[in-house]
Amino acid sequence: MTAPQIIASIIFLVTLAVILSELVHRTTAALLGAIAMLLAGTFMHFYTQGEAIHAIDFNTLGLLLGMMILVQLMEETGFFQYLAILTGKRSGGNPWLLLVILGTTTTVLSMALDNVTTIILIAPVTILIADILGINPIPLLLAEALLSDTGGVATLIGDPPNVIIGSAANFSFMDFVTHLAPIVVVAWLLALIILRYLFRKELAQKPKDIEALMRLNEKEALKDPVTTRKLLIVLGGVILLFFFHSQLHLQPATIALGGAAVAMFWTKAKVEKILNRLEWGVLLFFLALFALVGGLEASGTLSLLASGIGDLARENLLVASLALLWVAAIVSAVVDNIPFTIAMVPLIQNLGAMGVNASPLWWALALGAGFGGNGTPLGSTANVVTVSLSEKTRAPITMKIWLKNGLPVMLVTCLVATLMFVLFFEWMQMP
Amino acid sequence: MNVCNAMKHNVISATPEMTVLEAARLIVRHKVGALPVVGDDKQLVGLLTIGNILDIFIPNYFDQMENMQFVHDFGALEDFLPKDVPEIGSKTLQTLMRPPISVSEDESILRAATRMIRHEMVDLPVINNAGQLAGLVSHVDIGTRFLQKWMEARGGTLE
Repeated sequence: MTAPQIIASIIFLVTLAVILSELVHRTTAALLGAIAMLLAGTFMHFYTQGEAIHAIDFNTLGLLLGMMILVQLMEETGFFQYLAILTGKRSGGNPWLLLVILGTTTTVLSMALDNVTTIILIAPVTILIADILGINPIPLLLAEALLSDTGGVATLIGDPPNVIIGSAANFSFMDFVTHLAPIVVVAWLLALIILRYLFRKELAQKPKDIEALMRLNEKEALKDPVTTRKLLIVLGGVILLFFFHSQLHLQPATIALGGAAVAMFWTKAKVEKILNRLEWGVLLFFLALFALVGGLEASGTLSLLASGIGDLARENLLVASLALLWVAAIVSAVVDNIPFTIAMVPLIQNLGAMGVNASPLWWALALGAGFGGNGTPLGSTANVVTVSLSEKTRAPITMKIWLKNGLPVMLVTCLVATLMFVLFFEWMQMP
Repeated sequence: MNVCNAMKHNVISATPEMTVLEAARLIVRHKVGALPVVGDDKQLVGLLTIGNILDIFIPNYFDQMENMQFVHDFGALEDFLPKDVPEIGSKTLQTLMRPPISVSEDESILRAATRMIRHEMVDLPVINNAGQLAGLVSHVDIGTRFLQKWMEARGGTLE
């Protein structure tokens, strides 16, 4: 290893350790790390400021920003609560039906929208419905978190690792649907069956007050039906365009930001207020990580690593893909999967440049990073939010409760992914 | 006008060693919104509001919901009590009370008003020069003093 490679590796690893230790806010830590990388690169002549700008994937940032704006506009209307109440009432108060219905609603929403926002908006209504019925909210909350996390893997915009992978590998929205959605459907149904079994006792509870549930008036949750309708039309248009974006030669970011602009114009949005509520910290975190990993790449560390495993990957691509799937899953279960995904991007690109077929590696990364997040409460931001909302309720979700249910779901979904990956390996090798 | 002319002099107070349950009993019995907590020699050491105690019972998810108008019947939630209430009830006030934000009895009521607005309080403890609890002033006490001044300025009485 050369001196720049050693320095770049140290800066990267220290930054990662600080992010994971949560001693400093992750955005601050990533930004400090990126600046350190840039200074080291400038003085040691391995990484320039221009290269750092190039390393930042503005496609990912644009897509995330566009979708954030659309979700924020939608949040203001109360549509999510409306939908949760409307569908929740269809269960007639039956706990198992309620789990299936709310789990499905959350999954469908989070396939098109950000997981965290979906959970923040749906989970409170869920606990409220459970409290009104006098049943245990834990099965419902865990089902929403685990099922939406699993379902999000199916689409380009369903979870952040997919956004990063789609942009880096140049996979279209349809590529995700055709490669990952079949696996996700099977994994999702199995996850539902596992939850049915694990929560058989809680789901057998007799609800105390079904009439109170039926007296919830979803129309009063909807603040502004006209704006809601406009936003649904824009969102529908955006998703429709996603399906054809590669034929139209439009980047997903262009479509998402276009949709956001149209929505803000059409609904006469209070732009300052909407923009103030966006999670700029998340975007800045991504931006800094891209710049940080860019330095690691420029120092040649990642191509060194790639040449180390290149032969293995070329000779036994299936084993390499499955190894990546499980490593990604285990990493995502215990720590934030964003830094891992962003660091894997140049590594896989290097392997691709060495003549390895990178497609199965990309899909394996997406599956592992997505399904792994189910394992522990720390696996995703949505999990953390779910746990904190359940605090001070009749039934708080503890680490033990999560592991007891989340780990089986994680293992089974990863096993399904492994099995289907082996069965359809030829298909996975096509982009 | 100074705070001592607007405040209530007879104040129900608590001690740091009191349990949350005992404090809750005092609040219910005397129908007060806030209990100044006093230590040795009547020194003001903290303030416990009815909101601090209710916070123990109200789950986090309530804060997340801006709009709950769609709920017409709270069903099983009507007789909701968290399971761990006995445990919380036996905690002492020291663990729950807020730091004592107060006003001196010789300060003006305007100063008391600005302090209440800044800290989003409805009841403000009043202390004397020795730091001892001297009274309690509420936003109603202060508000009515202003209205009274206005009435007097019109040259009439409250009628």
